[in-house]
Amino acid sequence: MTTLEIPTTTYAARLDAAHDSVAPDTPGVVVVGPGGFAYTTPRRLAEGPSWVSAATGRRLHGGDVRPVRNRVAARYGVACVQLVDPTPGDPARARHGLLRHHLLRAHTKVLASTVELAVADLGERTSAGGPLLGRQLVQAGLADAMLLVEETEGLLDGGHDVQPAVFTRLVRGGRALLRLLGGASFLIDGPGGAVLTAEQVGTLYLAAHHDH
Amino acid sequence: MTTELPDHLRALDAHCVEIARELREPGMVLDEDPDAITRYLDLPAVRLQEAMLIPPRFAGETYRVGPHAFPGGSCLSRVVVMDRLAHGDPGVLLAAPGPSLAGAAVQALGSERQQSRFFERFTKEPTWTFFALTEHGKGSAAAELETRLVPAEHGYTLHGTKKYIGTGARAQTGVVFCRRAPGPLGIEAVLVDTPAPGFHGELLPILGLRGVRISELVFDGLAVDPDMVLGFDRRPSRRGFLGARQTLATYRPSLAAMSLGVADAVLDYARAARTTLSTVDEQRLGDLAGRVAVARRRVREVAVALDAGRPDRHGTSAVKLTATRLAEEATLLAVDLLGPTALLEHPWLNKTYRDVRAFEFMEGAGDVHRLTVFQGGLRDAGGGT
Repeated sequence: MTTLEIPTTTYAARLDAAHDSVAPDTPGVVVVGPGGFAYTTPRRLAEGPSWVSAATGRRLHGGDVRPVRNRVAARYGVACVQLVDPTPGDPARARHGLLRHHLLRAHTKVLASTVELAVADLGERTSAGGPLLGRQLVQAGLADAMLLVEETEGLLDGGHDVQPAVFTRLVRGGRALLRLLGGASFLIDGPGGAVLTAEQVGTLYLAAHHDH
Repeated sequence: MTTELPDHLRALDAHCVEIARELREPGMVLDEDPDAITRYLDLPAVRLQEAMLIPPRFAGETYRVGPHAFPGGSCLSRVVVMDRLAHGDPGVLLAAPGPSLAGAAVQALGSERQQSRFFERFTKEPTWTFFALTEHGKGSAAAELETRLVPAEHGYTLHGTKKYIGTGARAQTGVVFCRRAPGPLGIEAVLVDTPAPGFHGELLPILGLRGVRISELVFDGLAVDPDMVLGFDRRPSRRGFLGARQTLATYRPSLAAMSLGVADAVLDYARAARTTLSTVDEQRLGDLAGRVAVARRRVREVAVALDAGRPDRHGTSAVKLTATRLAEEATLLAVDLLGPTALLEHPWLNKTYRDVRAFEFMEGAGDVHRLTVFQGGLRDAGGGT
């Protein structure tokens, strides 16, 4: 039987690469999102990150770094913290559009890996004497996920302006894909955990802002 | 068919709204410490959900609300209870001791002696149970399961692995579906007590509903006495496979009701947390609330039909599918309305966002229900049976 596990460090490495893309000249950048929250790797936190505000583009100094417990993200090498009362510094000449771009790319890669695992798993699971992969409903579900991955990669590769709607589509498409895996989708160390981690990170950095 | 609740159920409904509030905090505690359920066994909600699943003749004490008595057994009462209590927290209900799905299987298939043996223990001590049908390779398709019941010198031995079994590693007793012979008539349901030699239960690391302690159960030669085969005195066509179908049909309306209670809770939470809403956002909340209300009416209709001995298989699949999707929709809408920090500044919403994803695969995955809905529509259109 296929082991339904996604490598636990891949997404985390892409997350830190996304932070790096914002200000490549500054080592150890971590973009601080709304509310002072940030997702990064424990390693980057240990090394003492260079905080950059997503809202103002300024560097942030000092402040209290409070850990935010997140069991699922931790399994994928991702830590969450809240930076409280930092002092704004000089502008970081950051390119925040690249953060969105890289995070959407990382999320899309998680879905692509999940499609691969699902094809392998559903090819081994059987129903009525044949593999589940032979069922039209299953094939259609996988095709939808493949199209979503392809379309999103096309948007990212083509240099298009990526809107919050792209993230929304990845969330909904990811959930539809996970449904094909049944109970396995609810395991932390399965694709469901990886997809949820990408959803949580994306909600902070990629979700639409409403006017309150 | 009317779904207006009679007076006694309106009283039960109002009572459940009151006692559900006490579940919110335990729900958060269980998310951190799944074993903490033992601290909450005296909560009225915990006692009520258990009472709803115990046949009156085995109940030590009938649950009362004012002048009204609520013996277990009515599906309509149960959906009212599970709906409103889930507004407090579904995880506490599912983590609590009680007959759960196993009780429904024992009721559907068990002899009087088997039922006595199973249900009488609930009056003596808190008892957790499991319903072991699902296998990873087969899902909950009873006709295809591979766990084997093998003849032995003094009865049978059980061999195989069950996965995604609620309270499996905590339970003292449970029902295991297994194969004694090829084909659907070779399926049996056996009652087992744990711990026992040849039984191993292991917790699975799960995204939400942590108190439910979803488990993998391994049976490696567990001894099964012949009189622990449920319905052993019935014809093969009237036991194992039939029991699995009947049990799931009985319990699905409760799961649907629970999903709707959670959906309502999430919508209420979003409204409270977002004091000002744009017209469009008001409309989005209103639309979802309307869909929840329609689904609640349908769940109650399905429950009334079940109580009347006219189970509506297609309608049950429809409400299970609809209700579980509505709960998920509600969490996505709430997170959207509360913005980028929704999952970080609202721990209850974060927990519920994870919890509701379990409803999708509990008691039959969504796609299985979609196919059943289609078959029902086809039958109604005169195109199939």
